Amino acid sequence: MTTATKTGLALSALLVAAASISYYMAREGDAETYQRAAAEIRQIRQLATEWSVETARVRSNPLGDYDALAAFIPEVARLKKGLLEAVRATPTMPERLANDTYAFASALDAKEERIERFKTANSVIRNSARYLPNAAASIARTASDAGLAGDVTELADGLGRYAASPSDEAKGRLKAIHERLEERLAALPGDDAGTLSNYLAHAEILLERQAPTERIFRQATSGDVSDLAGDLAAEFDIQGKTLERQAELYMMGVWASVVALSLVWVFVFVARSHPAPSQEAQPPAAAEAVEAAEAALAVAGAGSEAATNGSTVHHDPPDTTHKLLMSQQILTEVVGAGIAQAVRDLTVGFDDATARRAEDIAVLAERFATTNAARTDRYDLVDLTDCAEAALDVVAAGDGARVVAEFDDAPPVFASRAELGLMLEQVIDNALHAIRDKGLDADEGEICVKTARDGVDASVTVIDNGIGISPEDRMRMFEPFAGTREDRPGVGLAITQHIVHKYGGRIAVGSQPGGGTVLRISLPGMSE
Amino acid sequence: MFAAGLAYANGGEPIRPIPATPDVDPARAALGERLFHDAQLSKDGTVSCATCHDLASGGDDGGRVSFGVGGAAGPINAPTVFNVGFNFKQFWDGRADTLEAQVDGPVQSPVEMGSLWPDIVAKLYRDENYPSEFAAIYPDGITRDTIKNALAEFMRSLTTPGSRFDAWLAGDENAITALERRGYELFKFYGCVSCHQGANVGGNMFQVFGVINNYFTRRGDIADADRGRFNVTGNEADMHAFKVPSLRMAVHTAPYLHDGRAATLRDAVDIMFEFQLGREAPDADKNAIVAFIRTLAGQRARLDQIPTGSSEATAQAEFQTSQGAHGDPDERTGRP
Repeated sequence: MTTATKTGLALSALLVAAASISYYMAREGDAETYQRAAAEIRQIRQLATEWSVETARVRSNPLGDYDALAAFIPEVARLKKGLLEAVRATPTMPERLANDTYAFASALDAKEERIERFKTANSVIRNSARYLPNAAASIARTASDAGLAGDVTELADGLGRYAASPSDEAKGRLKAIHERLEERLAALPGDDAGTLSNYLAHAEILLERQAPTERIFRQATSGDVSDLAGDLAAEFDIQGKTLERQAELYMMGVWASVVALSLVWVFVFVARSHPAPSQEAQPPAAAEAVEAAEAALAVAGAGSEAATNGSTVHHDPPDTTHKLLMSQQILTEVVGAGIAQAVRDLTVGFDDATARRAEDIAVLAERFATTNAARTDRYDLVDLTDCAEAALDVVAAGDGARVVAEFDDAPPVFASRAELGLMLEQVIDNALHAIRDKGLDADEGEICVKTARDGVDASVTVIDNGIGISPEDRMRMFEPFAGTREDRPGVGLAITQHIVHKYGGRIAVGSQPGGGTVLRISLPGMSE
Repeated sequence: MFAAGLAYANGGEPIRPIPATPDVDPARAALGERLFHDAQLSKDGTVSCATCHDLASGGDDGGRVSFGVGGAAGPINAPTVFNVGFNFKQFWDGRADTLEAQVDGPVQSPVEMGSLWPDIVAKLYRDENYPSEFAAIYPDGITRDTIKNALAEFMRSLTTPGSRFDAWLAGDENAITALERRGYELFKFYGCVSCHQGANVGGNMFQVFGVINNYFTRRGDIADADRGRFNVTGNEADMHAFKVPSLRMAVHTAPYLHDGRAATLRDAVDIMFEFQLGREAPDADKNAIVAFIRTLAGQRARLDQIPTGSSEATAQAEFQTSQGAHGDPDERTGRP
């Protein structure tokens, strides 16, 4: 490996690590913002509830003052302002969450406005409701002094009862008493003349405004804000936890990838510091380095997967997902390209078999990088027949065997086209190798590829007449690096199984040692 | 929560006493006091806050409307600056939620002080004393926000405790006369107290002016300012709604009402009876109510009696512009 390559690798790793850490911290910061917002919303919810309780208290207490009620306004306003500032300061916030927050703030404004309207209306009916019993008491007192006790007491009682529960009927009764007593009431002295001329008017006001005030009260104290707050707090909590989890997963992926790079680098260093290899004997260090590269690839794969999972947990906002995937893409490209470069540098001058094996690893590493990059593509409805045709082309199946295609109507699969392609390439490539291993030439070997509908699933079946799989090997056929061939890394079926499981599919394998293999993959189809 | 527990603990009275000392930071209030009297805050250096809010009288200017820079007449009667910390919102139409936010109004209004904040900041930086005084209190130095905060803190200090009525509330039976006592009972009896209640005897709700009989139809000549809260919310229900003014210093703040059309307290009481209560009352009752209103005014609280280094003051020393852009650290209602 040249110094420039080493330096480049090291620099890339550092850059990726630095970018990742800053990304991680930003995410952590965002997570905290969301959790703080959730706590604030719960606080507002608590306040809103108390605000309603206090409103109810004011309503039922005609002598209460409004100071305690007004004191909620600045407190709620302070929390609300903090919340809106958090939204503005978090451009990555999902639009839905931001909009819900604005809606919540509007609901709080509306609540305040309704409570104010209630206070205004309540003052008017409170005024009349209080005036009527006062008037009644005053009339009763004067009437008693003037010797009018009996009838007028009835009027006073009527006023008091009316104030407690105004109704059309009660007003009618009141009016009747008033008319019956009109003459005698006119005889009442001075101050009460005014009182008398007023009480019917106030009875009217009370009756007219009682119901609207009650309605405003119910609007002002309904649970809307509380419900909204509960939902919104939960949303913020989920978002915060999601980001936290993503940050963790992402960091795990980053560190695993960085470790993989370092491993390759260290082993390359060790290998190159040994004496120059001869054509005859393969130095042990080189073999170790190849193994290390294989192990590194596995670690990088696991790390990348963790990072991918990290980016797809729950509902991630589109822009955040994109950012994460971009970052991950750069990472995997660097790791993949780095491993490929390292492995190629390492095996310069080694014997053919080692070099071929190393080249395979390099190719896989590159593919690993591009496949990961492909994951940023949108998933799509993919036709397995298209994929099978493309895969047959890619591995040049026609060069090693006769190809029999039996394509039927398979339902489309919702997946990444690149991944399904990779999956089928591995399977067909394995079939070609099985044919070659049996010593069959292109005329004798046969690969049959079928696609079909299998209930609701789409299935693809690959049949070869190659060497087959021994029972012992079948036990480990899906394990990475457990391949039986000296010149191949043995990760093809591991990759295949990984992709199949990812889409919730199944793999079935039937094989006769020496007589060929049938491999059938079923993936959940989408109805059209 | 808040004063909820206290609200009805006041012997059942709907009016509560003003606390003996305002809850403010004395250093900030002192700085605010100088700014309050400083005409540099106006465009042409002729008008200070104190021009229209005379602290030696009722905290207002005694005119029907006020006159700003260049002798321009304002649209509305200057409200008193005393006890504003108890108001739940500021201005007649309640368009400012905090005293800090309120400061923007008169300072920038072309018919009041007609200033621009950058000019004020620049002027104050050229002053001999302000730069060091601000620096000693606010880490950010002289900014629009720190000026507003200091002014607001001073306004919050302008409480008027020790009124005779508060003494009566506290149990001193002889603090008010029998007539004044009767005035208070009538104040409750006729329903004035439905709106004028709480520590500030008003200032904690909106009410439509003309709720029973239409004041504006009678008066005519409707101006923008007459629409009140409607100008803020655009809601028809808020047409002619105003913040219920405090009666605490009413005895010193003639003329009355948002349009300054009531020359005396008795005139204002008459208008209230006619348009807000829809009631007739004997002169004797109205005069008793006026007598009661006179007992509500106390003395301006003395800042030198506030203990320095109180927890409140310490907490406020952490004022940050980022948090205080709209006066948040001080969004208090001034309640105990």
